[in-house]
Amino acid sequence: MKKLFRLISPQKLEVYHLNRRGELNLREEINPRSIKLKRIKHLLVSANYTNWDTTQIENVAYKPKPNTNLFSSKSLFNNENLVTSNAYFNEQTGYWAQAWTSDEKLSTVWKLVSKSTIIYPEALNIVCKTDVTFWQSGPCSLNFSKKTGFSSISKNNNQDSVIAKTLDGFLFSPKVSFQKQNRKAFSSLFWPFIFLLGSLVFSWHYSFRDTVNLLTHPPATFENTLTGLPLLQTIQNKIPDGALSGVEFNQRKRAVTLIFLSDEIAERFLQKVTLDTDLKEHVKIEKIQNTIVLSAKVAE
Amino acid sequence: MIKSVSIYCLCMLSAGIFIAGFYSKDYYKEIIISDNQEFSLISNDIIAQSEWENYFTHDLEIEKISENVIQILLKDVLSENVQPLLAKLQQIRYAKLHNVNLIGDMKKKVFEIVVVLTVPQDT
Repeated sequence: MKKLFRLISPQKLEVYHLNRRGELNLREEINPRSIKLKRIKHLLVSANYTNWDTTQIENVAYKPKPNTNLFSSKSLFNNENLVTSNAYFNEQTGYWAQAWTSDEKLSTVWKLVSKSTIIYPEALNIVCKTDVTFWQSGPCSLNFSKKTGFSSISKNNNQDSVIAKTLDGFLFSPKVSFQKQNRKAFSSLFWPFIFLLGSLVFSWHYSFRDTVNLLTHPPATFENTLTGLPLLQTIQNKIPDGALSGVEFNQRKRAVTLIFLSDEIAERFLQKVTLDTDLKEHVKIEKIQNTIVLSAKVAE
Repeated sequence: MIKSVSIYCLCMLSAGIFIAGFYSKDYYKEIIISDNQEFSLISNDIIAQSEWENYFTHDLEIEKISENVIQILLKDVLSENVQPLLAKLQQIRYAKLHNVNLIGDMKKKVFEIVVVLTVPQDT
């Protein structure tokens, strides 16, 4: 059993119970200003708040775009102030129906309830079992038409007709409504988007930037093998023990400089290595006082 | 329905990005920690004496010759330590080795190794 509220005027609100068959049972009548209505999800509004019309369109394949105003020629409101419901096609009768109202009027309703409340114009959402039932909807009396499947303002001037004051015993069949769906959808997606953006910014600064930099711009690496070391190893047998005071590896010149304790020792070493023809062929040997520089010969 | 699915997808995507962020950090740390020369990529650490001492496991002195040239002086190197230190020098990856001087001290029976390195400017 669900609760359904019916706003008749700013001073009059009825509370119904809606059973599974869609039948309305009146529970109470209250002043809307006396209670908090923010939790209301579904609200029926009387003809006091909306206009509506029905029509037949010959083209059965016709599908109106969202926000299409089927009855723009009948509306007295400016387009800027006009709010239209979704257009609804009754497949059983072949009639289209749409409700419209002014932004100002709808705002007065949404001020009472929450922005998420779905507002149903009762002329298009109440179904009667017969065509001869009339009911008072705000300033108008309405009657349901089986021909269209919707209700219209009664033109019956017969004083004997019984006009129901409430919707007790009527059927509620939701078809046409006003809802702030787009704004709600936007607002409900806003925070997930912010969350997504936040997660991206956080992850980028926390780690992605470093990892991406490391992967896309790996640090430059150098091959630092001492080029003179193999050469030194080949001639080390020719160097007398304790004869050297120092060795210098010059990577740029690809040279090894041997610093001997004296000029004489350096001279003796030079004589020894010059006898090695294989060495002389590949290595350039220079003697400067007590130092001997060995460097790889550049092929000409 | 579509809205709920969109919200769910966005939330899951955000959570996935968060998790990927933490995973990526771990991956980055793993790469960096496993690299014992990572300090030489950081401009402030390239002249940090303690970092180089840890690398060579030997006392040393560092002198900054210019913006991207440094000189490392390894003193009192025993003859048996010369070969391992030369091997470590050759393993330096993120700096260019220019000059290595081995100077022997006959009295103390030790060596002094002077190394000149160039570090890339973007470190």
